Amino acid sequence: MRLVRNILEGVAGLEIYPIIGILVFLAFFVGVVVWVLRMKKNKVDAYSRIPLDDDDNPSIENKDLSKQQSDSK
Amino acid sequence: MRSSRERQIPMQKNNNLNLNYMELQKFTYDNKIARLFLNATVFWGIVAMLVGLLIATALVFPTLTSGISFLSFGRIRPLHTNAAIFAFVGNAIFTGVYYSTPRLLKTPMFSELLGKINFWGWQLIILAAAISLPLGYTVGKEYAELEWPIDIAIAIVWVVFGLNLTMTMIKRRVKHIYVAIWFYIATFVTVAVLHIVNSLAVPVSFMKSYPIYAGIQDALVQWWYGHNAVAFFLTTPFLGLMYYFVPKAANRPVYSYKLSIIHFWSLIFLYIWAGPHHLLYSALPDWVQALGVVFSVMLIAPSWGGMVNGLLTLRGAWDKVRQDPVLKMFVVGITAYGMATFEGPLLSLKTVNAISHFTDWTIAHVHIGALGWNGMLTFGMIYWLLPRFYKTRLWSVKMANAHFWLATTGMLFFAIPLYFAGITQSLMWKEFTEEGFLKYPNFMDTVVQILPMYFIRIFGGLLYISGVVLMIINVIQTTRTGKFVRFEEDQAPALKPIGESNEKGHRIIESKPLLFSLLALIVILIGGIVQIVPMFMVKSNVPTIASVQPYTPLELQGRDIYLREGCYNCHSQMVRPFRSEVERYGDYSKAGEVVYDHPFQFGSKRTGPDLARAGVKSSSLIYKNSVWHYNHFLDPQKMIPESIMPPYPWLSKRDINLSSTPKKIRAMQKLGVPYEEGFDQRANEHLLQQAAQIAQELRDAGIEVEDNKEVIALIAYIHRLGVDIHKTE
Ligand code: HEC
Repeated sequence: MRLVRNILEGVAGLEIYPIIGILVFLAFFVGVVVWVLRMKKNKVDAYSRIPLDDDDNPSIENKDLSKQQSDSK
Repeated sequence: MRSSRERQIPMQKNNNLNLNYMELQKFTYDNKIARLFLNATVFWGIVAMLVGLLIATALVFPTLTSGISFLSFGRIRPLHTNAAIFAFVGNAIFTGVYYSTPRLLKTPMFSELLGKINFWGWQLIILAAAISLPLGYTVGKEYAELEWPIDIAIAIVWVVFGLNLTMTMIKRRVKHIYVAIWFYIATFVTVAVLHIVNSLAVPVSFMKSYPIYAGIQDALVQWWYGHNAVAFFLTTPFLGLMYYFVPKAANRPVYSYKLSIIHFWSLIFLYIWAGPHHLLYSALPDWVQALGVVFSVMLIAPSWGGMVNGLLTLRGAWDKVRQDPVLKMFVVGITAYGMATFEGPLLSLKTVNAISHFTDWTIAHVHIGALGWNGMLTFGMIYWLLPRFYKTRLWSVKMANAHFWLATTGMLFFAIPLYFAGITQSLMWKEFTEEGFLKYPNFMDTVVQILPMYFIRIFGGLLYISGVVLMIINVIQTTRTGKFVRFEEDQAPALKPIGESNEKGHRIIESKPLLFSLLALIVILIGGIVQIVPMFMVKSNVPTIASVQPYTPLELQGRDIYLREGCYNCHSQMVRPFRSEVERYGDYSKAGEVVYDHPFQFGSKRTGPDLARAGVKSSSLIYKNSVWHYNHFLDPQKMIPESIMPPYPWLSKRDINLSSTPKKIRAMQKLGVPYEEGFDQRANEHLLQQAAQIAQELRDAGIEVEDNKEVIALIAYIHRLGVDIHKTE
């Protein structure tokens, strides 16, 4: 059984990887948050409306669904 | 081949883009490709679910399809998972992307031809999978079963999709790229990397190959892939769809756009690290396991950020939600996402994982994701798109509501019994008597206990599927009452060339698609590299265990039969270092034992007992002699009446494919497996010798069998499992 003790033991310095990982993430995360906080509100509002900004056929807009509900079979 | 018919007219339009007085350009959206994908989604959806129903039934009636090799459980389960993921969800992704991308970027898709190649190519790939998997062509890695020619086709079609997407971004008329598109791009980039890295293999012949990685390394790459297939195929594209279709259906912008940006970057960063949580307590080095756990737990933050963002988009619109089946489905879908992403980190905790792993708990977990998150979002999207494609109303809102209820209850009837089954069975596996013996040494006792749960799961599946049948009727009827409108007009001002404005920071990144893609790529590569590169260093630095030898030619053929029949769908080969497992199965598994396993065969589910030490005579609970195995493979119920293992009668009829032996040995040599020079030519001689011994043993017991039958090879393989490290004792 001595033969098969974990073959990965003895390769030093590997434990450091999780720590590096977390540090890289934290730095990255802080960067993103700073970016986002500095975005201008009116711009962000405009961006968030992009999906709604097309001439989606008004005849079948969602508000019709309630009407449809009552008169469908 | 462009579908756009563009013309320019000077006009004035007040829109949200701060570009008030500009030349407006008219253009059209082409719904053709999106509609094709929608039809394919519906079609493959029901196929995937019916195949699921078949295997769920096969688990309680194991002889259901006995004698029909291409319908046996181990071959059909990969068909179900592949169909659900790549056919149903895949087509749904393309539907949503091809519909929303042009509208968000205010330009038609770049190329109709690329769109067509994307569509037909993807359907052909699915067809190839639907034929090759039941025939037993498989690499033997879960969710990456398809053989190398199909893998290449996937890579090509995927790049076609990515090209179409990126070029559309370059042609766009809006400056800011909406967050949904970021999710699409991250999906494209990451899936490409995952698929290519995990599929690297050495071909043995047409439709047979061995992965270039072995054992623990292969396991790490595979679950890095597998986990991120969940992340970047089942999650990120659907988050993109959520950020488009939920605001659309509710007719209000997303709750917090800033949150969506943070959501995006932290999600793609964290996800990629979490794969090793599939290998807890395995022979994987501890630091990699720790990495997986830490990042999995952190993942809950961005996941819930996204869920909250989706749900709060509907704040103040709950009256609408009550009436509109589309919104209802979105709400349940997003809630299921929240449940699944809460459960994920929970299952990554080592204490929970010790109980949940290898049980039906995992199956329940993935179905909350698949039936809830992917299913509900897809159905909602379909109900929302149909009336728009056909300029009509949904044929029956009542029916859609009925679908909603069937799907919701079906999901619960599916998942809850399986949670119960998983926990029950695991506790039974682990229970000891006061005297210190396993309380349920007979594996079948733990199976019989949970069979009622399997029946309820079938009922849940039936409910869910009947909902989908209602949807199909609704789709067909809506299609009939309306008329397909292929082109829709829109207009937008042309985009000022980038550089005219002096933008900084994120604005530059988000306005340059290629730079953006590159950054996303770097972010996801960091996680992959930190995990995988050290594993390669380890491999080349450490000598293998001396007593561990490559498979003999006969065992290798047997191993390939094990893969072909999909035995890994029910059997694990990974004894974890717990007293309960060591007692039942034998000494726990070591990394050095599997260095010649291309691919690794740890498995992920124990419908049957672990086989990692099936060849070791001293692990008395598992070892069986050749005669027993022969009878058991041909008719498990003869040996163990309540067994739910399917019979494999064809194994005693089919001949071992001797002509493949030299090729297989050569492929193994290429992968670095130390067979001596020229062994490929002598391999069959060796094979026949070993086979003759086993066959003689069987004949001595009165069984009529020839030396060259497949069952002999399979017995040789099973008897080889786990024995190497016991040679020195
Ligand atoms: C549907 C799931 C399922 C599939 C697929 C399946 N098995 Fe099994 N297997 C079981 C169950 C359950 C048992 C325990 C009951 C029994 O022994 O029959 C079992 C038992 C076994 C045993 C006996 C273990 C012992 O107790 O000694 C062996 C060996 C085995 N299976 C090998 C295979 C091989 C090889 C394949 C593929 C050709 C396969 N199994 C496919 C479910 C499955």
